Amino acid sequence: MKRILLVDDSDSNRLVLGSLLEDEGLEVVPAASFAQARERLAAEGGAFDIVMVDQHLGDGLGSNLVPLVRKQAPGAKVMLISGSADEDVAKDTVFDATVPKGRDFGDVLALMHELLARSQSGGGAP
Amino acid sequence: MDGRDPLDGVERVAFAEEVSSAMRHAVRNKLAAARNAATYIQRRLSKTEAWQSDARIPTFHGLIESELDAAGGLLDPKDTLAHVFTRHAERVSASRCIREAVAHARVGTDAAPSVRVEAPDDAEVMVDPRELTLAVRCLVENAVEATQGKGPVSVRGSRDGDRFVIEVTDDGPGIEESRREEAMRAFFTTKPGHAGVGLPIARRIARRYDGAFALGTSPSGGLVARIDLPTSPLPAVQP
Repeated sequence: MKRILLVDDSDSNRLVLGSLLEDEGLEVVPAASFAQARERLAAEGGAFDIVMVDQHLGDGLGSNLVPLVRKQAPGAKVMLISGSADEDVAKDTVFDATVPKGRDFGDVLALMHELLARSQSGGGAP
Repeated sequence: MDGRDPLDGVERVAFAEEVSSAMRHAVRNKLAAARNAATYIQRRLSKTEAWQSDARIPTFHGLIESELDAAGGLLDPKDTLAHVFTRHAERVSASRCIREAVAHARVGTDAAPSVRVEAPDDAEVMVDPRELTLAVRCLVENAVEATQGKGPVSVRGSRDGDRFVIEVTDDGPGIEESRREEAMRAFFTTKPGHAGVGLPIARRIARRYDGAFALGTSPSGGLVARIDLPTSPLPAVQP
């Protein structure tokens, strides 16, 4: 079973997106803050296949989580679920994929499977 | 001098951008949760008898989704402020923007703070000069406030390879690393009566012109705010 670290400071978003992902047979580990995500990555980074992260987390930026993921979960792909239409995301930040918040879940799922396939074939960021 | 602030217009627009951006972000979050919840309900109920027998259920589900999409469309920032302000990016002297920013900084008149400008290098950068000037002024005013209006504040512009770096340094209390991201978000402030938009405005403007913005600590423990912009190469000489 693929494991997703879902990092979002919105309780509603974690609950609903997490439920949709679980219905797809994925194991979802929620993190409500940058600090929680950092703890999860330190404890079990290697066990994650995908990290889905919001940009604004109250105690930090999702983009600042990327170096930690690369170090502690080198096999995981990082998807930014952005509520900011890229306007607050630094242009030099490298996510494996970026999806605007509110995008149809089918699109999110398709992109996630594409990342997982790329991960299995050993492909890096586009 | 007629006492009019030459940056008043661009500052109003920058403030409006911070307000609208914060609202867009909050509303998008809510819409996303509602849309995903609607998707979950559809997936769970679409094969049930209720969904099949009452045509209003799938119709209303479709209505919820289409209304959420329409609401999301209203959040598109494009052209929102176009009728108020038009940007004109051009090749300008970075040092000139620094000096203009300091000249127009609103830092009190009773006991003028010490603001030292050092710009040993100059370079041309591709920006709207009003916006870069405003960004630097925000940082200068922020730095002076951090020193209780006294200074000293240092504003330094220098070349670093193909980048031009502007650093505004104060001797205030600084911002600890764990709180810097918070400090760069709109409406975060520890100062009563302040809106807390100076740092976000500077960051937004730096990023708009392919630059970067960062906060650090000065040798005295104060704050260093740094804007880093690509320099604009000279036009190719025609043969």
